[in-house]
Amino acid sequence: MTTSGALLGAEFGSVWTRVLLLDVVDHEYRIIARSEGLTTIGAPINDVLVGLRRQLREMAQNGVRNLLDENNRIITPEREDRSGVDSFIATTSAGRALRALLVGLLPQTSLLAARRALSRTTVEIVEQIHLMDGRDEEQRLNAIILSRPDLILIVGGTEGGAQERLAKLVKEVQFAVALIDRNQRPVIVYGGNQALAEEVTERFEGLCECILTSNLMPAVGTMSLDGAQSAIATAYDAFFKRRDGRFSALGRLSAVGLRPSAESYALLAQYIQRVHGQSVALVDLGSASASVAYAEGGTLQLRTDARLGQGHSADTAWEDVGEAAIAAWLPFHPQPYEIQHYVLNKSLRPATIPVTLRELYLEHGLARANLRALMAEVQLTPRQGFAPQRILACGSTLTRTGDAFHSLLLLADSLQPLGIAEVYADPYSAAATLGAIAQVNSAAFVQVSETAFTRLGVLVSLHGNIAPERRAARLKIKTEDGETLRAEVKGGHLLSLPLPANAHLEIVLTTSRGVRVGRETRLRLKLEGGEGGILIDARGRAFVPAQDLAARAAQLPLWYHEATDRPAPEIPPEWLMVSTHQDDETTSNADDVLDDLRGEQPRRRRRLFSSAPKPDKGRGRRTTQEAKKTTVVTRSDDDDLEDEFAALIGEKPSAPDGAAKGQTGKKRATAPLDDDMDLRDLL
Amino acid sequence: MSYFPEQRIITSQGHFERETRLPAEAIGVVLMTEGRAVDVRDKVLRGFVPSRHVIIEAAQELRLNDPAELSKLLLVKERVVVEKGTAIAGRDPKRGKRIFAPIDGLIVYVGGGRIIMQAAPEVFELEAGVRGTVSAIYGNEGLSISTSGAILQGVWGNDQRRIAYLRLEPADGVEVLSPDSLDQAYRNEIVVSTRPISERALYIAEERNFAGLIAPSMSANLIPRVMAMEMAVLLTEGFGNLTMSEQALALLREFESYQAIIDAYKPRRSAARRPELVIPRAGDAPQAVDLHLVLRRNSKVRVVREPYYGQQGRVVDLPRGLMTLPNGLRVACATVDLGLGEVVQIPLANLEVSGR
Repeated sequence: MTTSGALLGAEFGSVWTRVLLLDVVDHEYRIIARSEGLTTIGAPINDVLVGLRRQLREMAQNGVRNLLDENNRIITPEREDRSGVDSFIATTSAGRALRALLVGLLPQTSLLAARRALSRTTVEIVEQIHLMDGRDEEQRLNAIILSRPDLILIVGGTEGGAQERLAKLVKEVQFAVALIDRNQRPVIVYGGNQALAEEVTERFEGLCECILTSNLMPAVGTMSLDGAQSAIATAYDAFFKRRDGRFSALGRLSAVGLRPSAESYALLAQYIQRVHGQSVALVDLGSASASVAYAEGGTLQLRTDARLGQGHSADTAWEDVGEAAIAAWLPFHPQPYEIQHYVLNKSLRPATIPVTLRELYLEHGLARANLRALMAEVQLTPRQGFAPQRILACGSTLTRTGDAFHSLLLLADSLQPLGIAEVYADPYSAAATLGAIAQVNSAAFVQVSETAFTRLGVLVSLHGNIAPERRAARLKIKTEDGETLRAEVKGGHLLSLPLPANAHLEIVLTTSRGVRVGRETRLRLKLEGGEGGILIDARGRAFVPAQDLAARAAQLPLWYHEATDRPAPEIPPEWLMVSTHQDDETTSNADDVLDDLRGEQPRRRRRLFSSAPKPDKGRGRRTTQEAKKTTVVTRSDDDDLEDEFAALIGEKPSAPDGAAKGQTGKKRATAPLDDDMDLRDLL
Repeated sequence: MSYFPEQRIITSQGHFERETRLPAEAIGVVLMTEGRAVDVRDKVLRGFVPSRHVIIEAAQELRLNDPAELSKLLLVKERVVVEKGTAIAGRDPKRGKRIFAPIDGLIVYVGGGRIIMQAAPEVFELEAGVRGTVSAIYGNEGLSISTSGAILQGVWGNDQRRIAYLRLEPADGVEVLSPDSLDQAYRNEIVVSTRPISERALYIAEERNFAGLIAPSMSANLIPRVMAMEMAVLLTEGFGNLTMSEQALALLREFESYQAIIDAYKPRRSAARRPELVIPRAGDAPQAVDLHLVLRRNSKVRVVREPYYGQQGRVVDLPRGLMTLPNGLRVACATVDLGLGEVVQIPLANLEVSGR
């Protein structure tokens, strides 16, 4: 199915509904309008279409175009008066996750393939049945019935391989499904040995919906996931239509049915990887789930975890990542239950935003712990050589800090990539929509994918034998004006070069002994900036903040200052006091620590640009006015080099108000049971 | 830009739809038909949660050569509830080799030489909880009742529901009451506490047999205990040491001694319900609760995050663009007058309106 006119895409997140209108401008598709508002799922309205219509009316009121007819229906196809659109496409990561039960022969082979096949969909794996699960038939029967699956994915057996054991498992599943209430029966997706396909069809015929797909593991060591993923997406759409009335109307409106957001992420990551030849990590930290799609060398890793999240799933994330993982990023002793209260309240009011500094540390501590847990699940960690060349960040926590430098720091802390990565942000959920749009209009997908995202900047990560407070690398920086300056970055620190998008720098980076960037020790780079400039991270890989609270309370504000050039937040002395209810850590004299901190900060703040912190009036050093105070500087100059650096690149300074940018954007066999049997009758 | 803020309904008189659904894990039936009038205590839904199954290898135990023979040896019919120890198969019900029911339950299947029993599920019934008219039926899952009265939506509950009279705690709090189970004061009443719930308050509430307890907040360590209680516990604000919002407190004071329904629903992801207190009220056709309020100047709002948690105010301005918060975040804000001359910037996302 292809269309050629205007396209309307909507992503229904758990908190936000974001709408994009695409149309052809100068022979190319562009995003011509976007709008967002709270998702109207759950109390008090519980109808996703209400939230959608609000956004469409908003677009009409703003003079973009009329998208609703007199009956409040989306106008399709596009009319001659340019009202309406040719296609409407909907994706979602909202609603509850699909409860999936996996059935396979072995956990490390067939079930591994099954888990990967499910990664494009927001699922909760509620049970796994296999030959080594140590259960007898009765236990398996109860596991299937009591886990209340929405979907059962059956895999196992290579083509031409043994069938008997898998056939036995299929029979057990059939038996269990027949005992489930008719209205609650799951959808079966079979992706095992194709020799059994006919038998599987017969067993589930008349019992429940059964979708056959190609074998996920046709041969030993070979995985073929595309067919299964497509079948699972179909089952996902069917699930929402059948079980969740709130989405059924939406699914019918959408030209491609209701698609899972993660499916779009996979497509987009693969596309960028092929077109740009870069390894791409797309990370989405949402309210109810977290996803990562990593495309490298023609392979894709994808994972969506519906227990990790910043809002609806904050409480389950806390359970899964553990309190210590969050506390590791706090510059204070949490009060008893403080972290638990925070995550519980966040899950009760997921849209809310932290206002106090303490709550911001909690929020971002949870974000870092969430992403680290997600990346560890897919083994995308520095230890496993995770070195994406491009990172695309999605989700409000990561993209809506209002400060691109801060977003870049959060990503550096959470993902800890190796090497050099160009970093982009997707504050309007375009990534979730574009993949689905590709199914109706590939040209729109291709053209918009190039312009839909905000360039945050570049993250240069040093690793190896980095000694704290000793030089980790020397930099020779040449601006587009031909000016040269030198700098160095010390171990355990960050260096931010505020280079705006479309401006370039040539950097010769020479690392100290034992230190590398990727595999290199000396690099000559030509880097383009971004809203968050270039961040050189000399904290090593993998790093963790200091375990000692006093040291951590010095480190975290300092890193924030180094990355953003905003004043380092002052840590109140009482934050370093151990709660009377806790005995996990001893605290040295808090005042001494703070005095030490305050004494150290001005000296540490900037090795290259050692100016004192400015009053918090936005990003002063990037203003055009200051940029005019141009002076050529070298390593020997200590004073106000920041401003001078800004001046050197001052021809294209960032807008002083990141807000404005953020706002406008850049733009079935017979059943063994009687079919009539229905336990409801017994009531 | 029009911003539709989060709504948590707190109103002393309104017309609204109240949805009641079976828990996701339950199977059941709706006992009402559309258009029917219902009273508070009317049973509207009946259901049960599927329970454990037991496989009995009957043919093997009876040493039958042909498993098909089993059906001839059944001593009870299929789909019949039997007690544990009842002879369910054998040549003679009183002697010889027989199969006895290993559990109290239902014989759900006989075939292939096997008998499968399902442990007796606990059947539960849900009451209407409000006085009104059934306005919609959602298959076998639930129904919606159109009703009117006062409503207070909270944030958390312990999944219990009670109908009782509303009463404010003593001036010095629930803790000052003696845990005397013979004292009739507060017994079978829904008690409103303006303080966070303490362990002692729970102890007293149990001893004195409160029907319900409404409080602003409690510590997370009390969750297991509260979940195990039969008393309905409803939190209006959240977890920790939060105080009750002025608006909630005013409504609870207004309706002291009224009969109320406390539905302490434990929130589930994207659920259509919230924990709430409903006070049925007769009266002239009340105005429907407006669920589509746009934030604008003069909108009455409630702050739901620190540092102004629980305070009420009026929107005096909705500045365009983003504002910098004390923690450095830059987000869309409203300028809110909290009274007494205190005018502050609050993120839009941290404001709630009450539906009026």
